[in-house]
Amino acid sequence: MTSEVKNLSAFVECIDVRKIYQMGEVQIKAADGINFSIEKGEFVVIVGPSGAGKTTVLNILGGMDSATSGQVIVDGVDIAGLKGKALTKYRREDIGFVFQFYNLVQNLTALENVELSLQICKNHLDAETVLEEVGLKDRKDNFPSQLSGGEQQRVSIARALAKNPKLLLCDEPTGALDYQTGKAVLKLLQHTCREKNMTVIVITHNSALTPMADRVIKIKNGQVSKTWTNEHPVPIEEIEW
Amino acid sequence: MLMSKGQWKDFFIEIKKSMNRYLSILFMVALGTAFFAGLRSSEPDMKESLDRYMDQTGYMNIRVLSTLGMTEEDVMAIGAVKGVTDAEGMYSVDVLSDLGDEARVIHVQSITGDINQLQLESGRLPEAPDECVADAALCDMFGLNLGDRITVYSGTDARLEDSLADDTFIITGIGISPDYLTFDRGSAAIGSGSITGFIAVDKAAFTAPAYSQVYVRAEFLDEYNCFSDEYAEGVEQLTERIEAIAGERCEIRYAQVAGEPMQEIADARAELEAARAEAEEQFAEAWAQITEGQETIQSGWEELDSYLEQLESGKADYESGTKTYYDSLAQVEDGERQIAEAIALLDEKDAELNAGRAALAAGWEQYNAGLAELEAAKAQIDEGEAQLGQLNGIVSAAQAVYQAALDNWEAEKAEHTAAQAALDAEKTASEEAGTPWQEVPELVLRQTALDVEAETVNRLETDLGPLKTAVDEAFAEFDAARQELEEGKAQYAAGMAELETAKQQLDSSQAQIDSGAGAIYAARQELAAKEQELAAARAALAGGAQELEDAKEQIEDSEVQIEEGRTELEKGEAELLDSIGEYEKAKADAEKEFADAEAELADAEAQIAEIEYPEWYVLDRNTVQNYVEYDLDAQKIGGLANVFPLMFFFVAALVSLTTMTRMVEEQRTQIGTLKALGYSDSSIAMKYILYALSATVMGSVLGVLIGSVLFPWVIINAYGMLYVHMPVVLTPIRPLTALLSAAIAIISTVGATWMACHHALTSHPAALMRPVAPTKGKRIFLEYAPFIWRHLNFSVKSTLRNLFRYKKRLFMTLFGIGACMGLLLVGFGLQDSLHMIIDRQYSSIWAYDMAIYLKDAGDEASMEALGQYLDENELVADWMDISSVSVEAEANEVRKDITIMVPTDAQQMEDFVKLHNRLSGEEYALDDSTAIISEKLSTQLSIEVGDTFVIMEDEASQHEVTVGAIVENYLQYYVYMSSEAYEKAFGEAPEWNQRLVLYTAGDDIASADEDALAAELLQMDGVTSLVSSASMRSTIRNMLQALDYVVLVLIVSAGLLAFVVLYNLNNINITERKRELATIKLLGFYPGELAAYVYRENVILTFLGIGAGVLMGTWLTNYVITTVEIDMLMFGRGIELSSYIICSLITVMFSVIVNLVMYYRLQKIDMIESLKSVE
Repeated sequence: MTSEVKNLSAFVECIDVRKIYQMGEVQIKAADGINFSIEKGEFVVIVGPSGAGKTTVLNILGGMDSATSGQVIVDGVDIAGLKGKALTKYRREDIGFVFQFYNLVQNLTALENVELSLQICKNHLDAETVLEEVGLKDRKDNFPSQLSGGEQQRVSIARALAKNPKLLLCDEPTGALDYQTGKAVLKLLQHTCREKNMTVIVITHNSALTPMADRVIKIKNGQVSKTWTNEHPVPIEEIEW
Repeated sequence: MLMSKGQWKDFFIEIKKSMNRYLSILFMVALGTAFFAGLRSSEPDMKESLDRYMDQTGYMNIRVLSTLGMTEEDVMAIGAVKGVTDAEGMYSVDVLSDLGDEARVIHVQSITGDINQLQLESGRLPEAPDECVADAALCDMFGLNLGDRITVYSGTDARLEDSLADDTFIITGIGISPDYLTFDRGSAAIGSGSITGFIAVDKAAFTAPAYSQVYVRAEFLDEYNCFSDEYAEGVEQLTERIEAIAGERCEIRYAQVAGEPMQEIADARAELEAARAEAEEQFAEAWAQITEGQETIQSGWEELDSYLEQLESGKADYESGTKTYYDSLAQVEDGERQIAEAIALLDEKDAELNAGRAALAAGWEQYNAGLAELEAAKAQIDEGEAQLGQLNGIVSAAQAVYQAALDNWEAEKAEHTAAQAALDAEKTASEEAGTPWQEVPELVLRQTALDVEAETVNRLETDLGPLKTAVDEAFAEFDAARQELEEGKAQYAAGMAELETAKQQLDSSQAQIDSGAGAIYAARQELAAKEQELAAARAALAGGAQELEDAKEQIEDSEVQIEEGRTELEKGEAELLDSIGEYEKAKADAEKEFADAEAELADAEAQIAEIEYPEWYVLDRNTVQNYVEYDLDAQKIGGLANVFPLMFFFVAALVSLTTMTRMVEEQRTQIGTLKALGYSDSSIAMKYILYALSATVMGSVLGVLIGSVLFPWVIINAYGMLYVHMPVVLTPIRPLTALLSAAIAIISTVGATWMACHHALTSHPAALMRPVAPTKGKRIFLEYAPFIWRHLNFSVKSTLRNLFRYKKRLFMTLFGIGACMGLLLVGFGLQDSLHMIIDRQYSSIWAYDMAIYLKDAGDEASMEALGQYLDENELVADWMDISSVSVEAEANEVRKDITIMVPTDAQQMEDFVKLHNRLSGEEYALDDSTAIISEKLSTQLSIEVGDTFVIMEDEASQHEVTVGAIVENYLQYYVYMSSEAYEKAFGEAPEWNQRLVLYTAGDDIASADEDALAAELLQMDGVTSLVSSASMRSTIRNMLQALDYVVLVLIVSAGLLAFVVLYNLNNINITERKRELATIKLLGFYPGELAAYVYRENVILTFLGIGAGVLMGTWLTNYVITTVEIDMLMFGRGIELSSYIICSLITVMFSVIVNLVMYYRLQKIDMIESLKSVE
């Protein structure tokens, strides 16, 4: 069931990524030489306990933060070296973000929230189509406050997908959701990955989710402690936690 | 306290962490309290400043005037009144002085000791009667310095000496008098009617008999502010006490001025009568002397005439004597001449006689010689006779020869002739026989013989010739000789006769001579006798000549004497005439003097009769115009305190409410935790209350400190352009006001804070610990208009929804920005309206460029000269005479000082003064029955078109006038009437006392040209003074510069307000929406897009705020203007478009600055925030 890391057609590759925070005289190594690679179209789960450094990885991958050293190659581009506007450009065109708390703009409707991200993106999909795909056709004119948590998260996913990103980054997407809803959201993500051949990276502390991933990267103490691929990922419905 | 140690620590950390928020409350409160405390303090500060100044200068509390003047006794009596600490009499008189080419009215007042102390700016007080302290304003105006002299003269018929001892004063000091706070020096009854300045002199410089007024001071009144009720009460009591002694003092005074002079007049009259009698006596005597003198001269003349007659006859005698003398002398001389002539004749005769004798002798000699000659001649004649006898013989012989020759020839000739004649006859006969003679040879031989014979005849004839000649010659010789002889004989005979005659003659001559000699002798005898006779006559004549000489001398002497006598008489006569003239003049003089004296006495009597019983006027400071105006102005500022501060407090409350609400919301979890831990609601709330309270208290302290000083300072200084002589500026901090403003601020902010906490505190801890449900997105009305909505992008949609979602914030921002804009508009609007006064009044209303004040319009010559000068001057386009009269108008029991302006030509009026309605712009023309009045007059008197009002020159002459139209006007109150309407109302024609002038160049005239024109005009007769619109305009404009402070304070305040509000708004916006913004940033919005996302709201709010500010500001400006408007002045009512634009731009600028500051905060937002859980 497990196999060694293949480095053949890496879509995303982290090579010796380090992130060191200088806090007064103390150095905190949030990432201390992280190495992994992800292939295109994979559903990846990055798992680890709180404070292990998975958020640092997310930040660096998402273009929100830069690495102190090392390379982060996304679709052939080393984003570790990007700064300022180039980094912003990377975020707005290549990355789709799904937040734990959805982060919808409260006074925009579901549709408008999707369109909000599209207005800055060139190669985007049709907002209404995407909303339909995530099953919110009927709620598109509702404000976030009129939607349930799962619905809001689906809007959030739609917002990310509509940009047609290279990479869909999901930060604890089920963290604020109840179990069933969480499952439904994960199902949507998995489905999206399969249907659209979208590279999806889910970051979670919940190791129960690892079986559903194509690839699992386990992080501990700022380093990749373990990484494996599942030849036959389990559908989410079959996973319980 | 209610809070635990931990809570305190949290409290301080909280403040430190949210310093911006804390400061915004603090500044908002500071602004509010500064305005509140400042504006509220301004009125009392103004009043206190004036009170201090009046106390410092010992300004009188009361002044007492009497219709008959005040005496030293009056002063003492007043001084003795209870409460009065000081009473001092002072003199004053208005006089004229020529300053700056014009007669200016100078108010001369005596220097008072402790009351109304002069405030010296330089120099010293006068020490001599001819020294003075001069008005600082006067010195400024005319460049007078210490040591200069001011010469004054009386402006009325009264002599200057009656009031002042000197007419020239040396300036030893320059200063101001507390009597004057403004440039206005009051009015006078002389000259131009308005006082230009004062000079203060020693009392000794006055000769006036009574004080003009008595100043009274009561020290106990110094305790009170002179505008307070206590002061008013004290003054009232004092007034009553002084009035109580008035009756007695007036009685005494009347006796002084009326009783005593009456007696004096009676005495004077008696004296006058006595003097008159004496004078008449003296005149009679003098006349007698004159008459006597006249007689003496008359007799002198007569005597002189008789002498003259005598002289004439003497002269005639002399004339005739002289004539006789000369006649006699001529006779004698004639005689002498005759004698001489006779002697000469005799001598001549003697000579002749002697010559005769000589001639006689010569005659005898000649006779003898002649005789001898004749003897000789006789001899010659005898000889000649002998010769002649001989010649006679010769001739007779010659004649005989010749006779013989002649006889021969004649014989021959006769033979030949006869022969010829015979031949001829034969010839003729032959011829007649037919045979020519020649063929007859005999004839021819005969002829030939005849011819030879003829030849012999001819030769004989020729021989006869010389013979004949010889005979003739001999005969001629004989004849000549005979003739000569005959002549000799005749001559001889004549000589003989002659001699005989000569002999006779000689003999008679001898006889004659002998008788002549005898006659001469006798004549000589006679002449000698005659000569003797003449000598005697000459001697007699010599005596006569001497006599005549003497007579002549005598006549000449008499003539001189007579001439002398005449001169003397004429002199006497002239002297007499002189003395008659003198006499008459003296008499007339004396009569006039008596009449004058009598008239004077009558006048004096009449005057005394006219003297009314005196009355005292006990007046307090409320009769001092400056003082009352100052009071009113202070009250107006007080009125401002009612509006401005409330606005700030309102904004402060809004800021506190939004800020604290936000803070409480942010700290829900903490509140919930504390509640869960068992802290009481009040101890939890204390943190927030204290937060707001401490900011408010500090803000209040700051605001009160700054506001209480700054605002009154600015306002008093702004009013300083009016009250130029009010040097005291007091800006104390007023505890009551400070506390009140702090209290209001605390109530506003703490109240708002409590409201913010209240909701949270009443919730259950569990609810508090749950994340707050985000404020729901809501549809806004615009969404129901999809055609608009659909076209908006998300940012705009979000912005619009946001605006309506946070109503508190919307309201705060609108109000804050609105207030900022409003304040700016007040500042600029105030400036506009004041400058509008100048521009509208001096350009749109008073089109004329110069007003010439005429000396006497009746003086046609100078008026015409002036008119001609103006007509010819090319700077002047046109001119018109008007009448300008200052009177009062009354309606609805309100009375105002107005000026009536009457043009000579109502048609021409519009060229000089534009009469139009401010709002409608409708132009009006003067008709012949109604008056056109200025706008503020109509509002002050509450009269409209068609109403009537009363114009009064004084109480006695009141004229009712109907309002025909109401026109725009800013300065003073004006009533315009046509001359017909004026005459109808007043019953008399207006007096043309001003001449309005229009320049060709209008307002663009070069000031040098205008100065030259003014200088020339002032030189002309008939011109008293002139006012140039341009110089008035610039004077007022300079004065208005003090308002710049007010505008500056308002701009700073407005800026502060805008900063606090906008900063607060942004602050809340950013903190509250940090997550949203982080998300958006994470979604890949560029910094600019992110800023725009936020700013759009600010921009819209700023513009909405500006819109609100336009409304608020316009209203507020109107409020301020109507509140602070000065009587006699209407401020402009409109704010210029440019001011709206400038204020908007400044507001936008404030907004931009705040947004720029916020930009950096936006950039600092950490995207990671978006990943965090909701707190």
